[in-house]
Amino acid sequence: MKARGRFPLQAELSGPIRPGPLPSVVRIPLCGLAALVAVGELVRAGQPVARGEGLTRGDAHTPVAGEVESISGDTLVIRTDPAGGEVAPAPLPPGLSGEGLAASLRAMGLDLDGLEHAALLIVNAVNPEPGVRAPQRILHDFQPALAEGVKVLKRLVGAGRVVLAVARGTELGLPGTERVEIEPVYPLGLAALVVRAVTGRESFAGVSIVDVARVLAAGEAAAGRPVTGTIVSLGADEFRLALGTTLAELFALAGVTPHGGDRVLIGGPLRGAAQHTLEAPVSKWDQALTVVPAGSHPGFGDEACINCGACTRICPVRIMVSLMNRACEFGHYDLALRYDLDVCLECGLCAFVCPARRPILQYIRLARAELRSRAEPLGSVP
Amino acid sequence: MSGPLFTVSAPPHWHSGRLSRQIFWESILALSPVLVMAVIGYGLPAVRVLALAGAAAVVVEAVCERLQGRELDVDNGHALLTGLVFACLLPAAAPWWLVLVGVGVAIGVGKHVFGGLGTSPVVPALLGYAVCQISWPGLLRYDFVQLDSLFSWPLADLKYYGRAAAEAHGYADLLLGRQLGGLGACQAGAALAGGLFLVARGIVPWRIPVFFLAGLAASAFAYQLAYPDLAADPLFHLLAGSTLFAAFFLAPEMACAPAGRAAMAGYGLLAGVLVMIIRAYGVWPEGTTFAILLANLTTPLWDRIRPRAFGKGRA
Repeated sequence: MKARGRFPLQAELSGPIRPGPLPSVVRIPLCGLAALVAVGELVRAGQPVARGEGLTRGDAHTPVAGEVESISGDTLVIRTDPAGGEVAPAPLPPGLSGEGLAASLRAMGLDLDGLEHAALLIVNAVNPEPGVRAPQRILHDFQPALAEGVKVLKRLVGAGRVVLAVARGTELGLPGTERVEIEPVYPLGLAALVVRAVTGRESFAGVSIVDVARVLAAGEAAAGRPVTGTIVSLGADEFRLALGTTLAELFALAGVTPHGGDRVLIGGPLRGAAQHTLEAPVSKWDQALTVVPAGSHPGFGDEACINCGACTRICPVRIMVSLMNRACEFGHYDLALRYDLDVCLECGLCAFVCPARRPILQYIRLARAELRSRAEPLGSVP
Repeated sequence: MSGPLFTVSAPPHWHSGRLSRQIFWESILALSPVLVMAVIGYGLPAVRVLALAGAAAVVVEAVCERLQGRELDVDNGHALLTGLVFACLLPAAAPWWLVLVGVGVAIGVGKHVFGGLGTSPVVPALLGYAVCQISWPGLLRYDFVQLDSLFSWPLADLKYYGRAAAEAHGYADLLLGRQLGGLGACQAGAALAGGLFLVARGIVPWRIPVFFLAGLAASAFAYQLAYPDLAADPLFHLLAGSTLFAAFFLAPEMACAPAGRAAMAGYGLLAGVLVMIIRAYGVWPEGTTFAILLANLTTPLWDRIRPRAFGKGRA
């Protein structure tokens, strides 16, 4: 099945979630955030260290106590002091709603993008990609906190109805939600396709969709604990990591040793972001770390399209990829937009099956970036 | 910062592992039953034409790529495949220079003038064949040049001697290649076997051959209803001449066939109907060459048929 690009999403969970390393330093990316602390300042675990800008971006909190070592460009580095103190949790006042609730959740570190006022709230507990089991694990391990999170987010969104999207064959549910079963095959766990499976419509209108990691964070926030960690899959295990933990420290704990030429990914094998250094930190909402050994898969080439049509036939959102992508390749971005560039979910299946090893998704991202830089509306980019 | 250098690229970081070269070499594998049957049927003359066309195609491709200053990718098998497919269309008695001219046109003009692999607007092998057919029509009359054969050309029999002569060919004979025609193209059974392999491997999308054959059969049936005295039955048209070979090895040529599902069906259907129209009303007994070339020219139009993308359908 794999060769044809049909990846099952559901997997056996291994033993309990493993704790991550106590990081010696944490690196907090400051993109979209304004630092609240100065170099040399001592911070306590759970203290906010950067404020989110805009209406949806949550604040950043340090998971460890220590001293702010540097603030350079886009990264804030804190050196851990294991003897440092901790901020006592301050539960949110019950009954908050609307703007007040949104502001409180942002102050607890939640990102609220996609959580607009809507009649229907969908909680997506389907694993997004092969090798990424964090949603499955969270639904399995954190039922009480999730139930609390559902209540909070339902109030935030003003939803009349909450649907839990789970993989077919899963028994688990959540109080206060209706279950809708999703066929656990990639890419059917991605938000747009889950919305279609639940509502029967190919539109986000009247729907807010949120993944279980953020529901968990909302439940924790209600109890007064800010977002300071994330649960990631690595190999057969899940780890609970402090935000800002570097890949190097986690890999040392997990016994993973990437070699030269390997791909080290934050995320899964089909959508993950390749890292050039193990000093890269784990950030909010990261769900997996993946190492793809050198030579296990053919890399991209720059061969000409042979027009076989495999990309077009595998596209889950019915884009004529073979036409659209050649328009992207040769810089005809407006033409690419007419060939439905705006609809792409970036699932990567087209490039997975391309026999000419064309970097299709790279061309798509280039075209989108070029169009954005021209400040043209892109339509409904998920 | 020291440490190992990692590979960095846009996602996805997995690949199915199926590459272009594998597709072309598997296509050559799928062609092998046809080649074997051709050699059994026509002996050394067939080997001569096949070997010459295959070798010439590789050389012409290498020369073209060298002249353009491109990296040589002749080892991907596409030129060899094109040369062999072209040879399959020729009579086993074709003169050597005709083989070279056809291959030169197929690879040089059909493929490289338009930009190389994947860019041909028409099937390269068919372009080579069409040029030869128009320039030296007598040399491609299988019944004129293949005088040492015991068989006759069923489609010419139908055209010149009528239905009874055509139906004297048993279906089993047609299937086993006991008919006069292109040295490989007339190996109907072998072409079907190779074609099914291509479909099973996902190299040829099933819609093109199926709709091609359906279009031909349906129009043959309609013609039979209209002219019961003249017309042969649809099964004869499916098995005679190069029909099955064309359905699996010519019409689905990736570069010049549409990629959408509905578009592939329409394209196949059009090519199939055109074959029957040419066989019924054309001056040439065989219709596949020009039918598929014409259908190729409509591919950009078929490609305009696009499904409504996600979220762009009924609101």
